[in-house]
Amino acid sequence: MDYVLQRLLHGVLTLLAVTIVVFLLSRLSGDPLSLILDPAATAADRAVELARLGLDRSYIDQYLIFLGNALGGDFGESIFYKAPAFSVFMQHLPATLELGVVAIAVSAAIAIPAGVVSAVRKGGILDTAAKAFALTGQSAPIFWIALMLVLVFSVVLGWLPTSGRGGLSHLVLPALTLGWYSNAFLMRVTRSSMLDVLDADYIRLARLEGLPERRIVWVHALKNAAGTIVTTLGLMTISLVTGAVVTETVFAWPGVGRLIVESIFHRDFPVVQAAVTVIAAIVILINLAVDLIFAWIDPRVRLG
Amino acid sequence: MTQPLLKVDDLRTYLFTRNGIVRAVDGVSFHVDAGETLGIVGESGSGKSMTALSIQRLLPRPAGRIVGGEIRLEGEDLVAKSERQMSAIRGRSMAMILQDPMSSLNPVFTIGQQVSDPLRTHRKLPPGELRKAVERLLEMVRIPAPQTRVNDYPHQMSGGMRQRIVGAIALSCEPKLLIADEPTTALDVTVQAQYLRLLRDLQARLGLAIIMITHDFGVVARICDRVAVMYAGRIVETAATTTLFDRPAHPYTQALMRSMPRLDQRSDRLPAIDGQPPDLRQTLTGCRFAPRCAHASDICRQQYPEMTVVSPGHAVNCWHADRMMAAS
Ligand SMILES: Nc1ncnc2c1ncn2[C@@H]1O[C@H](COP(=O)(O)OP(=O)(O)O)[C@@H](O)[C@H]1O
Ligand SMILES: [Mg+2]
Repeated sequence: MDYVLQRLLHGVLTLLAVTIVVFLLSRLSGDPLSLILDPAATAADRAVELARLGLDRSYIDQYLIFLGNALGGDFGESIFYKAPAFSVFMQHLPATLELGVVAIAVSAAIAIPAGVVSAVRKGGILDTAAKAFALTGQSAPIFWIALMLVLVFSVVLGWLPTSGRGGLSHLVLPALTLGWYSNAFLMRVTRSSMLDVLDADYIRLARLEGLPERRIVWVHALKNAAGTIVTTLGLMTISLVTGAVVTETVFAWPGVGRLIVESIFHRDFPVVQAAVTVIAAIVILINLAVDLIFAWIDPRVRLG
Repeated sequence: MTQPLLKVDDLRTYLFTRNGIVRAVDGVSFHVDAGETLGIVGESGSGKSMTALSIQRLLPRPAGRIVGGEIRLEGEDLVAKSERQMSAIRGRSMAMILQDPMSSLNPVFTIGQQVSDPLRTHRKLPPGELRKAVERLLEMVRIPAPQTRVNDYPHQMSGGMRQRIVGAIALSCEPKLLIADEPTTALDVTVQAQYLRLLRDLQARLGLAIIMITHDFGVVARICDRVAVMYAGRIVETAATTTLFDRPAHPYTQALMRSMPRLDQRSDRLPAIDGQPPDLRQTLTGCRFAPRCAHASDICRQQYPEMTVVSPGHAVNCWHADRMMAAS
């Protein structure tokens, strides 16, 4: 229980730090008035507008107002969409979640078993193939993989659409692209932590007890490796957010990744701020979930 | 004539490593009768663990391989068994305890889950009976308050308690043979004595045969009926424990005994004898102990000594056995 509270507190503090950084960055990124005001505005107009927006107050006051508003989901008005920045972000979130969840699920369903098998049959066919895949998966930039997939499956074979969001067929290529890097990474992490565990005395003892090999590998060993695997899954989920920027741009996928890129081009800072803050909150929540799952798997963390 | 429970005949186990072939076990023969305790003693690296793992057919992979000999458990040759057949024998007909109680238990499963594993595999007990059987086993190895301890994790227990739990796991399916590979080396002296007493009691109760691997003659004195002394992959002397203590015939046994720590001392250090054991990757001729032996003569360096039976049940591989016996 102490442990849970401690992690929660840690999460809240991190989120506060993020809001400070976001606030400061928005102040550093130039004079917001020049974006809003008519270039022909007079100095008097400026002063009025400054007071109306509260920009004449101290930075601390401004930050507290920003924080209070943000807590209520108010990140100001989107300059480009002419709508509340927060709701613009929320409209784009489901598309990204759909993509992310599919990518993670597919990658976990493939990479974890593949990692386990390549550890058990070290040097075997699957292990060698997996190594080759991991090599290309990890060294190739994500946009290149995206373009190659489009070239093969859309242009040459004509099986799948090149871009946009729609049915299942639209989901395949972006999910594959997004999961590609994570797949390779997750497989390598699973393999190496399984190799460590399979060497342990308690695994030797399990064999000495005559337990079935399948149970030894998939229950006794995998549960020990699971802590590392879950942590990696958490990291992957976080890296998917950054991966989404490239993938969504390439496939014209209407999610938050593309929204962030476009908003930066449009100098639509309220949307960028809303996106960064909410994504940070999501990342912190994922980290919290990982910590809690880890503690649930490994009694040494939970019971101290 | 009744056959022994375990009979090992000319066992050869080699490790095929990148740096050469390690002849870890190089022609070892011995037997264990039902209900008796055989000690295997020797310095570190003499091949004791590899002998034990050969019997269990769980050598380090992929390097370890049995290249010759027979291992008969109740008359059946284990060397010829398939991996599947071995799984049914391990944990049921024979069990093994490893040296380090701290790493022998799985950190993410409860004691109850781990003790019940072999019972569930070999006995297929239903859950209700399983729980009772587990509590009985914990009681048998003298774990206090077994009903609550079953829900504990290994890291919540002391080394002595963990090693008793490992004992409970090993004995859960009432094997006929227990191989204990230096089970007390990592324990405190008092805990060590307790553990050996517990093993003796359980042995009497279950009619169990034990192979006790150790480098400590104190352990031998406490628990073993007979002893085999191992050096550089071979057994150099076998005798009843009292005979060996009274009249050790091999210069190596004598040296080991001289360097033996006193019984009341903690013995986590290896007994020190001048010189180094030979490199097991070399082809060795003659007696393996000759380079370190004060009594070695030309023949010792040229030819491996044949086995001499110096008295009933007391065999030794030394060219000068008679002289050594007269001197001891
Ligand atoms: N996994 C291994 N790979 C290569 N050589 C090994 C391995 N394990 C043990 N050996 C070698 O095999 C020989 C016998 O080792 P072992 O049976 O463990 O000795 P003991 O148990 O008597 O201390 C030693 O020379 C040791 O270096
Ligand atoms: Mg050993």
